[in-house]
Amino acid sequence: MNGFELKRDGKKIDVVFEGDLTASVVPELRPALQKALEEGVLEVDFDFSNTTVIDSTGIGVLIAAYNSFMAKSGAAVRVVRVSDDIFRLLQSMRLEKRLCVTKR
Amino acid sequence: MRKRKPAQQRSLARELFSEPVEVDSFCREVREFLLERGLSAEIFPVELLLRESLNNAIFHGNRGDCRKKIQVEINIGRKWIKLRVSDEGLGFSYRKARKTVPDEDSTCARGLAIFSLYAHRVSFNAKGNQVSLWRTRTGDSKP
Repeated sequence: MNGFELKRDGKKIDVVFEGDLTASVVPELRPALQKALEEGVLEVDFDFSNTTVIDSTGIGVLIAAYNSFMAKSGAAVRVVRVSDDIFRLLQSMRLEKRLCVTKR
Repeated sequence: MRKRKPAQQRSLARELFSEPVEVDSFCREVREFLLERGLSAEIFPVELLLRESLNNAIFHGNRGDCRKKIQVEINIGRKWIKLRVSDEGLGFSYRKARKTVPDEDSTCARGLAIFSLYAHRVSFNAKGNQVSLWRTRTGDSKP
């Protein structure tokens, strides 16, 4: 199990987490995002419908994705369907606007 | 004579290997532990603090050496929940470390900021390889 599923629709991908976005998921997520970047993806949605916790390693990979997709292609990166707890955490890290975070 | 209900265990202590899957497994155990004690509102902040301290122990303290061990303990007091995490590393100076939220484009260095935001008290031993975190059971003034 990767801990996430990539759903591709043309130049858009949805990264749907099967559970939490934590240090154990990141080693497989990074290369998958790199591949999507190289393939010219222009929109990335990180779907947190099934996610109850994110740690700072997971936050780091979201920022890295934002930095690289924006720099290479100006791609839109969004974090969608987050819980209230995760929204508050990302807000306290001042990331809710940058990552276009929306609640469930 | 009425039978007295057995006292509920108030602490949980484990020795973990330095691997993220061990953290996942312990955090699942802690979720159950808190839920059984009526502390469901504390699951997110406590798990977040635990994950940050355990990740620090794995990646900074034990430098990712999966043979090295981590000691972790959670204690439920009447007013406080206390977490303690120790690693086998050389330690660091908490006093000199940056504890504020980093710039928006920084991909790291949020762990200690999370301690400040979610714990009511943070303390390290002199060597800097054991952290203790306290959080009130009501989460007063903290997210």
